[in-house]
Amino acid sequence: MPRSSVLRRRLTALACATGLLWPALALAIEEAELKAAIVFNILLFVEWPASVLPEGSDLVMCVAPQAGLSGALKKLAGRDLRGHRLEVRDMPPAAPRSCRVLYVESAERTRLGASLAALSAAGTLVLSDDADAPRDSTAIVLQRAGNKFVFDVRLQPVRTSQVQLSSKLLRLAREVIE
Amino acid sequence: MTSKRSVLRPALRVLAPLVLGGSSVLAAPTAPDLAAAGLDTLLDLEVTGASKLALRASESPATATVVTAEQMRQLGHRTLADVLRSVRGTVVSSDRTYSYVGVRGFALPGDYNTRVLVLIDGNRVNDSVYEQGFLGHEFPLDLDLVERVEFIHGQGSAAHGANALFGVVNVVTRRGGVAVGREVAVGLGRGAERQLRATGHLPIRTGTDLLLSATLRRVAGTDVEYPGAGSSHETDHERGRQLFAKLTSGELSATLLHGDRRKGLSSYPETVFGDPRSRLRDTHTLADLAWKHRLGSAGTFTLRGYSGRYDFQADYLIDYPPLSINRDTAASRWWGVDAHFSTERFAGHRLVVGADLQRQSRRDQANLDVWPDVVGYLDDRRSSWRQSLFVEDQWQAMPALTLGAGLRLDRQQGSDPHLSPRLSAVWRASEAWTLRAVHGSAFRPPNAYELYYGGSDSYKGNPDAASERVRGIEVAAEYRPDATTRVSLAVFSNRLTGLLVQDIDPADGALVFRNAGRMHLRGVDLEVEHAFAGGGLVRANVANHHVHDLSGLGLDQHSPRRLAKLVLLQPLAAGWTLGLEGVAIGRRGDVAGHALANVTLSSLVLADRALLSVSVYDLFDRQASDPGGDSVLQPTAPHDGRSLRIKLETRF
Repeated sequence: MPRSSVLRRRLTALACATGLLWPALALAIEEAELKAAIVFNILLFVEWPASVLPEGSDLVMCVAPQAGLSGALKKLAGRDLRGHRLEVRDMPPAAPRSCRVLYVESAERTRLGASLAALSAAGTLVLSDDADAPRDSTAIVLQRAGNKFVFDVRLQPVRTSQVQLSSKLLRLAREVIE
Repeated sequence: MTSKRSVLRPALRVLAPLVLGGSSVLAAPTAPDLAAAGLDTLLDLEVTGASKLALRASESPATATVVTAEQMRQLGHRTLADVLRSVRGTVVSSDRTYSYVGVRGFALPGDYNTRVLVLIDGNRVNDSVYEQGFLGHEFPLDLDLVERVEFIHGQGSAAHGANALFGVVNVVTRRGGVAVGREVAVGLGRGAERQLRATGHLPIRTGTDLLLSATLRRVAGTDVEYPGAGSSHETDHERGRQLFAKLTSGELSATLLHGDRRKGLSSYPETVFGDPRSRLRDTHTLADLAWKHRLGSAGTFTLRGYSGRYDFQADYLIDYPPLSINRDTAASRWWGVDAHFSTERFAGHRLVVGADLQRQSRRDQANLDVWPDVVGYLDDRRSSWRQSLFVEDQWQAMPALTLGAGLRLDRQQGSDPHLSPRLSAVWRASEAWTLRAVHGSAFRPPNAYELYYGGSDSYKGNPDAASERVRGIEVAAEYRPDATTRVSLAVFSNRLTGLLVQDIDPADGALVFRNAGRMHLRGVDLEVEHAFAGGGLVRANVANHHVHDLSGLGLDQHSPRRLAKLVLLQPLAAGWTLGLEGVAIGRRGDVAGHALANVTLSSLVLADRALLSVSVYDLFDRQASDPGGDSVLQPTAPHDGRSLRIKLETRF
């Protein structure tokens, strides 16, 4: 799937250039907001077995409290994700067993280390923005390509964690890795 | 799948309800509910917000500056030297033959950038005869093919080996996977400069991409005015050709690049001034094949084979008497294998272990008169081996503290082994504050030119020359209150010993290199960067250097005490972007301090299929100079003065 290159960055300027929309909406799509929206929408295509995520329970997402993504994700807290309420928590220092979804930045990865694989096997969906994230634990890698976002899916942790991904999600992925 | 789809449609889907859904167009805009837009729409949207401060790819704990391809186009950068011009603490100069960079107070005229390591995707560009860091039009890669340039300050020998005394320039080429289709670029500049590039991208199968590019450049030349020597006509011409090929297929990637530049010399020390028979030629060929394999959760293994070749030939018209053409040549050939393994198996540690084996199969230099009679002076042929082992660990001792330790052992055939350690600490004191401290050691073995160039009464080699060493420390504080602003203050101190300096041996009057220099360079620099909501960016830095020549050889007289730089990128109406670059350099010896400004206007044209940029260099026509290659025979090298360049890059 082709990605945007340096020459395509002004396309959104076109979108705002029609008389109706400019200058009333000097819309800036912030990176953190877009990233959080994409993470939320990815989760809409994920299903956990009832033994791991019971009906009606909250879906807990843990993310390191760094500036940007954590704030944007917290704004989406309380929304409905296929019958589960989204709860966003700061990543606790110890291995977070209560987290159903984990967003791991590359800096945090060395600290969590081997426990990530164990967490993933126990039913935690791990997302990251780092291409070097280990293939046996990180199911989804979200990266910026030019000014847009793309994501890759790794099937190995998906299989071991018994999490189900909709085929539509796999079609939208840039790359699906075994 | 989504490349041809216009962003207008999905963007309207998000924005239209806002405009048509009852609220008045004049009311304050509310943020759209991005999360409700649908995943396929979101993947089509572009980030237009302020968070555009480029994050560096390198893991180095030292301060680094990153310049992206977009910034290079918006500022009208033509060469790697132009890119480094606005980097904090650097002084870029040119003697109209090559471009040079002085870093953090170290600036020696005639230095072939041997103390800065230049890498293309991690491969050395510095050759095996002069160990030169090529930065100008002699650099074998067209800047249009570069995705980003990272300048990493400080001693880089712990990771990269020889020559990284004051910094590492890492040039990252465009990845094969980025869709390009076909591209043609045309540039016109001063001195009847014409540049043409054609680039093609061929996706061979899924996962396999080939990128091919060819560039031709011709400069008819300008008249150059040398104060006190007159004007040289029709001698400053240049002809260049560059080829690039990159194949990526899953875990394998192969790169081949070739550059060939011929240049007329307008005023070279000892040559007949202004005669068109003086010229030189630089030819590079670099190839590498890399395999990067993930070993499950154990780590990543990278194996790389590389090969390089650099040929230099210069013809100098000298009036001994009689009038003769003297030819100087150098042939560099090197190849090697580099393997490294990085792992995170040990909780909290990021460990890299590696080895590099390099054979410098040719380090040949020759000098002879070719006209009117053939007289040989030098025909020196050498070869050498280099072996290295390195290890580096980044340990996240606490959530906010990362400690790093690195060590590299380098052995060059015929000299003592070098141990280059590096220690670092990065402390994320809070969300906004990061403090870094790095202490490192670096070395540079004498190059073939310093060791073996001789054969006449004027020059002789010094086979007993030893390596130069530098030990440095840098402490930096970085303040990032949000994703759009960054303030960085760095204090550094570098102690250089065994600096190879060319001096006249009183015994026979010949010029020879000796490890006679000792210098202490210290200073402070401050940089402020801010990205504006509308897409603009401003970056300003100031530096103050104290340079002490402890050996009393006058090595500090060409270092400017103060530097100030400004970069401003501002989107204007109708899709145009303004790029402004200003540089102010203090006095360097006999060369007065000066300030230069370059301005570029760029815009997408032809229904967004092309990028047009118009640049004016030296906007105020300061006609500044740089210190020349030789303080007696060429004390200053004049710049071009105000010049215009127009460039059109088309994609189809």
